Amino acid sequence: MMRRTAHRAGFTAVELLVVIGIAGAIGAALMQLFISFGTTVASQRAAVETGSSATILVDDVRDATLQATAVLSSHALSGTTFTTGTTTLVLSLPSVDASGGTVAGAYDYVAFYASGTSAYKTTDASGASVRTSGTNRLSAVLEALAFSYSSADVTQATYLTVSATTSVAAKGATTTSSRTERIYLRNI
Amino acid sequence: MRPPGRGYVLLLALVFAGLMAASLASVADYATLGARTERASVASAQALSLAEAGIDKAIYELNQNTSFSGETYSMPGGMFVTSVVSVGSGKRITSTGYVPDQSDPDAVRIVAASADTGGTLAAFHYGVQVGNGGFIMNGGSVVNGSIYANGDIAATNGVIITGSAIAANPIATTTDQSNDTPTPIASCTSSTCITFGNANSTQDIAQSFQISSAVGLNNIAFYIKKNGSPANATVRIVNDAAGVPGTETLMSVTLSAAAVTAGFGWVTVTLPDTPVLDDGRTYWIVIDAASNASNYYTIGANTDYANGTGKIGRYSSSWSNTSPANLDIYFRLAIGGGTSMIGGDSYATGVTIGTTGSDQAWAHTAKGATVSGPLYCQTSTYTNKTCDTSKPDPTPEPMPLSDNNIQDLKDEAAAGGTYSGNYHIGWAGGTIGPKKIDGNLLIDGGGTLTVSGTLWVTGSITVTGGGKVKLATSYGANDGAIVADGPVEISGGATFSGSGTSGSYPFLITTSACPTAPNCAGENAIELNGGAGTVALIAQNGTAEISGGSALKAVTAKQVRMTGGAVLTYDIGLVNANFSSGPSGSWSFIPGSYAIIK
Repeated sequence: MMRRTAHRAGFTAVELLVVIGIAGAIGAALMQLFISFGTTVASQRAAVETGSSATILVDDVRDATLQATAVLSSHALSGTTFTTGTTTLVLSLPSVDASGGTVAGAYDYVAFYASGTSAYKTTDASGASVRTSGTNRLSAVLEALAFSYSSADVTQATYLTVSATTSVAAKGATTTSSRTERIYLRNI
Repeated sequence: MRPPGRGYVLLLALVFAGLMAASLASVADYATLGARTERASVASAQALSLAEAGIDKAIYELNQNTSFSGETYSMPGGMFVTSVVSVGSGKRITSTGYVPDQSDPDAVRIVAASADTGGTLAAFHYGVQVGNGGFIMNGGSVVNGSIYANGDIAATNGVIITGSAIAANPIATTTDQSNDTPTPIASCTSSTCITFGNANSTQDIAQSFQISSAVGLNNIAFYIKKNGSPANATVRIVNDAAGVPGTETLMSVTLSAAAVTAGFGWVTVTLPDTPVLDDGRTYWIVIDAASNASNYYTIGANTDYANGTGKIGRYSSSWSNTSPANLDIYFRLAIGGGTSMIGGDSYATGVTIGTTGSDQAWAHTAKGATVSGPLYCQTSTYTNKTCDTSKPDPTPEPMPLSDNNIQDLKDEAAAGGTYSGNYHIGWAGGTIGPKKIDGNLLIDGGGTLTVSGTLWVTGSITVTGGGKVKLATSYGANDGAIVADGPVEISGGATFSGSGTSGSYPFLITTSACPTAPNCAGENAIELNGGAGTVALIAQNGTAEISGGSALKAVTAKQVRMTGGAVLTYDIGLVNANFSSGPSGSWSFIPGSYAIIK
C-alpha cells in the first residue's frame, strides 16, 4: 500500500484570533489565581509569624513570672538598669541548679522590654544557676507590649497581666495577633 | 500512531492541574502550620497547668500520708505523674504534665517544688545518721543497714556495712571568729599590743572564744611579730576552767618562729579537724611560748572581741588579766573545709560495704574498702575498684530534730506536771506521762515503764536488768518521745517497743553533749550495750557508743562509735517521726522552691 503524505492547511486568521483569545483568557484567570494564592500564602505566613511571635513572648513571660519571687521596681542587669513599668518587667527568680532544685540565697534576674518593633528578654544569672545570662529577641514584629500589676507598688504584686500585640504587613494587608494572660507569681 | 497536533490539551491540563495542586498544598500547609503552632502552644500551657495540679495534689496527699511517694493521675485530655522524695526534713516534689498522655504526648512540662512542715516534723532518712563527729567502727563490728555521716566513716579492721555508706564533706572553710581591726597597728601601746614570751609572768598568752557552729576547726591566724629570735611556740586549744584556760589540751600545733617576722603580719597555723568543738561553749587558744627577755613575741590586741577575753600568764601555772584588763588578741579562727573519707586501712577488706550492686560508697576519699556497688569518690587507695568520679562529694545532711522540736517535746512533757526527784521503775512496773521528771529515771528489775505521754527527764536515763519501755496503746500509730538532758545508758537486755500498732516507735532523745561537755567523766551521751528493740536513739550533740549485739529502729548522733564486735541492725521503714503531738504539722509549699524544669 502506498504511503500517503499528510497535507494540512494553515490556520485562518479567525482561528488564530480565537486561540489567542482563549489562551489570553486562561492566562489571565491563572494569573489572578496565582496572585490570589500568593496573597493567601503571605497572609498565612504573616498569621503564623505574628501568632507564634506573640505566643513565644507571652510563654516566656509566663515561665519567668511563675518562677519569680518578686517583681522588682528596678534592677541593673549586666550593667544596664531596667525599671519595671507598663512596657518593662523586671523579675527576680531563685537560681536553679542542674537537678532543677532552687539554690538557696542565689537569684537570677530577668527583664522583658520592648524596643521599637522588637521585644527582648535579658537574663542576668548567678554563678550557681543553670540559666544563662544574655539577651534574646523574642519578637521582631512587635506592635505593643504592656504589663499591668495587681498592686500599685509593683514589688508587692502577686500577679501581673501581660498583653502582647504583634503585626506584620504583607501584600498591602496587616495581620495582627494579640495575646493577654494573667500570671501569678508562684514563689511568693 | 497519534496524529500530530492532538492530545496537547490533556498535557496542558495536567501541567496546570499540577501547578494548582502544588499551590493548594502550599496554602493548606501554611494554613495548618498556623493551627499546629496554636495547638502546640495550647497543649504546652495545658501540660504546665497539669504539672502544677500534680504539685498541689502531692501536698494534699502528703497531709494524708507522710510517706506518699507519688502517683500517676489521668483525666480526659491529659495526665500528670508526680514523684515525691525526702530531702533533709522536707519533701521534693517533681510533677510532669502530659497532654494528652504519656505514651504519645503533644506537650510535656515538668515542674518541681519543695514542701515542708515548717520544721516541726522530724524526718529520719537514714537508719544511722551521724553528725560531724563522724562514724567510728572497728574490730569486726557490723552495721546491717546504711550510714550517712556528716564527716568521716572511719571503718577499719574488717568491719561490715551491709547497705550504703555516705560520708559528706564538712562545710567549706569559713572564718567563724575574728578580732582583727584595725590593721595595721599604728603604734604599739599597752592597749594595742601584748608582749609575751619575755618573762615568766608573761610567758604565754591566751584568748577565750566560742564557735558559732559545731564544725571541725581549720586554722587560726594571729597578727603577730617577733623581737629577736624566739623559739617556736605551741598553739593549744584547751578547755575552760572557771574563766581561765584549763589543762585539758584538745589539740595542739606548732607556731613556727620562722613564719613570724620582725614586723606585724598574719601568721596562720593549721589545726586538726577533730575533736569537733561544741558551739556556744567557751574554749581557749593558748600560745605557749618559752621565756626569754630578749627573744619574745608581740601580738596585736584590742578590747573588741565579744565572745571571750584575753589572759596572760603561764600555761603550766597561773593566769592573770591582761594589763590593761580585758584585752583581746588579734586572731581569725576558720572552721570547716577538708574532705571526707571512708575506710582507713591499708588493705581492701578493712571495710566491706554493701551486699548488692546498688549499695554504694560515696565520699571524697576511699581507703581500704571493698564495695559491692558504685564507688563514688575522687581518690582511692586499697579499694577493690577505682573511683567513679562522676559525682561531686556529698554535702552534709541536717540532723532530723531541731532544737525547737526538742523544746516542743519538753514543753509538752512539762505541761503534764513535774515529778521532783529520781524516778524508779522496779519489778512492779508503772505508767507515767506526760511528765517532767526533775531527776534521773531508772528502770530495772525486769519492770516495765508504760509511757502514756511525753517524758522529760532532766537527769540521766538508765534502762538495765531486763527493764522494758513501751508506749501506751493510746499512742496508736504515733511515735512517743522520752527526752533526757543527761546521758542514756541501755544495757542488760533492756527492750523497747511501740504501742502495738504498726508504725509506732519510742524515741529516746538526749540533748547531752557528752563526752566533750564538762562533768561527763568519760561517759557518752548514749551507751548501748545489747538489746534495745524497736527504739530510735537520738543524741545529736553527743556520742553514741554501741557495743554488743544491738537491734535498733534508728540511731542519730553527733558521733557514733562501734567497737568490739558490736552488731547494729536497724529496721528500715522509719522515714518520718510523727509524734502524737509536739513535732508535727501539715505539709505546705516552700515559697521560693518552685521551678519549671522543662
